[in-house]
Amino acid sequence: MASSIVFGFGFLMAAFAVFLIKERISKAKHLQFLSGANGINFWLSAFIWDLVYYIIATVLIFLVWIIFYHTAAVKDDLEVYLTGSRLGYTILLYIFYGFSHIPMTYVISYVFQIPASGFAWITIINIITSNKI
Amino acid sequence: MIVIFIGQATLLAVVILSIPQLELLNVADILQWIFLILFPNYCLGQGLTDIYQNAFLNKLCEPLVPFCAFAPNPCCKGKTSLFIEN
Repeated sequence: MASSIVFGFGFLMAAFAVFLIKERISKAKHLQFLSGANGINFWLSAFIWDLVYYIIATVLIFLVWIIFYHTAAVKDDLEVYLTGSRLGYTILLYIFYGFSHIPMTYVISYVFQIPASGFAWITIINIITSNKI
Repeated sequence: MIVIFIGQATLLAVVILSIPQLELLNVADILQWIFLILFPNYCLGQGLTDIYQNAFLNKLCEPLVPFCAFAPNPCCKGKTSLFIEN
């Protein structure tokens, strides 16, 4: 369970870096800063937009989990994450994960010069450092 | 097969080092904290695993907790003081 979730998120989080690398290399970011954009405004808008995408993905994951839970396909596994007070822990875990991994992707994106190879490398890093039941 | 090779690099190190017979438990502990700080992906996997493990152990321990007063077992953590006093 955890391995497949983390595998998917590895791709999602790497996709956030593509636009940032492109913007940095084509000097579009430089142009924005020259026109008087604040650093906080630039990064906060990028972060909120990525967070919206992340929340959509998380809601879809919960939707799939609930469907599988009610069709009793993997009910024993999923009742751990979805029943009682543990649902709150699971949601909290996903919220903290989003807040930690999106800025981490921003930091790593400074290393790469080509958007496509940056996406590939960040995906590889995410998968290698992931976890598995 | 590929998943085994690429998906477990960090977890495998921690799991192997945390075998008690190797006497490397503190190394595994430190390594786990380093991984938790550096790799958010490892955090999510570890969190999901921990939730699952805790819930499973709770379910497993449920029938054993009433017997804590008579026979101490790993399930009654924090409830053994009664037994020791007696």
